[in-house]
Amino acid sequence: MIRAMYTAAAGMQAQQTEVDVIANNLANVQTAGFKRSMTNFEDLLYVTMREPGARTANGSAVAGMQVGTGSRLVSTTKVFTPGALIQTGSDFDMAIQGDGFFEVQGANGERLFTRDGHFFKDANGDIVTSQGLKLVPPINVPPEAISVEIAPDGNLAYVLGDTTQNIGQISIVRFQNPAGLASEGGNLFRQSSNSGDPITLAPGSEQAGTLLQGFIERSNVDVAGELIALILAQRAFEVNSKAIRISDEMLNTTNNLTR
Amino acid sequence: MDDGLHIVASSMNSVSRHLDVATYNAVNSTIPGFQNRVITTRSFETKLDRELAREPSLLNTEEVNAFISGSVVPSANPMALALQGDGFFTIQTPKGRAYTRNGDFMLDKNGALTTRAGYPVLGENGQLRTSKTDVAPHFDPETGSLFQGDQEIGRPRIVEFANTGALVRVATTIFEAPSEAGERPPQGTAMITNSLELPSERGLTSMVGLITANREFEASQRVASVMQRTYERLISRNA
Repeated sequence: MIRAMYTAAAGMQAQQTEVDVIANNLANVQTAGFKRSMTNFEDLLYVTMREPGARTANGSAVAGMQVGTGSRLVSTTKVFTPGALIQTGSDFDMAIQGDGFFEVQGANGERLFTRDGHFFKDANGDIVTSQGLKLVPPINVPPEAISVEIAPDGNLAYVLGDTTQNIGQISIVRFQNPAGLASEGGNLFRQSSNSGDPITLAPGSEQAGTLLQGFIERSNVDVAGELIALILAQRAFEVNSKAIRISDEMLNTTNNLTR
Repeated sequence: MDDGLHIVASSMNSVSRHLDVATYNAVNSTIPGFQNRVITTRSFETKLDRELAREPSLLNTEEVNAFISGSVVPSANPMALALQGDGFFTIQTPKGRAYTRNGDFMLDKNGALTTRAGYPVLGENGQLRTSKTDVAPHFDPETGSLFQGDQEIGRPRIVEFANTGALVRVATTIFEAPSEAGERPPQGTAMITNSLELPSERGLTSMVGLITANREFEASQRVASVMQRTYERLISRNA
């Protein structure tokens, strides 16, 4: 019964972490390009009182007797399902239809990746994110370009009189395992040893997504799904606390066998 | 039969200590940088004492150190620092140098960086002192150095210990290090600015510890009660 209480406590801690993750998903329901996290739990070590398949004296095998010791959070993974697209009409807003990320350059020159397609033209004409990080490969828009057109294959061009001037090409980066990317915050991801190396492609080629100008991808958090998960976590928490209470009552009964 | 009461007394003493430690941990579970007290209980080494060899159930309870990293939460305090990894901040106490993981620092009336209790935090070259001007000091998130405007004041000194078991707790979050702790430069401890490290357990396991200690104590008390009644019967029969 003492072990039951610690097992239930481990379960409660696991549910507390689950609620933390759900709360973060809900907080980011309006964040462009946000990908929701899901938790993965595993059961803890088992106390083996009898090994399954152990032999009795006359040679027959017996069933095992193993008692678990609780659960714990083993990982949180990002779920890369696409979010809904919203039309903004802004020239530098791009949504990726399909797989892939935009690459931007971090403050210290590191390679960062994002699905948030909300870009701007800064004072020098460079295409930057809301935090001022430059798009990679860098593209500079000349001042005479009043409006730009971004084709689905990433080609950036502007119209001057009768002619169309090409400015540059936007690339998409794909990963072997996007769920293995490390989150940096700020809608940014960083490469990790789990994600594989970034593969730079032209949009539309080799399964990279195409670009849709004037749209932004919303977060893929499903509010109804998260609320249900929240209710389940709360009930699981409650049920574990009940296990502790019942174990305590059983110990009370044991102690009251005598006065 | 006289062994029985000694065993029960030993068990109740041990459980009392578990209760003390569980209460201490539960009460302090929201203090930044707090590390749980941990006690382990085992039977006396029966080979060492032939007298005690008949009573292998006597218990020896001792305190050990088991440090784990907590979870980092943002803080509104601009002087708050959190550590992730095995390191400690170095502070100056009247008795000498001490070490803590509680990064909830403040600036005292003279502008020195201190703990909430007023112990100065040591940098690589002595105390970290700011001047009392209108420019508010801040920590640079990249290097962890304390700056006032453009002037760099210093980086808090972080150390690790090869043998954390030798650290002695002198206050809720302050430890002293005898020489056998093996102080060494940090390898892999990260310092995060504008954040605090809170104990990750949040007191849940301590609560369960309180419940189990209570029941174990109660069980020992019942055993003592039964023994006492048995003694009474023995004595009254012989009277």
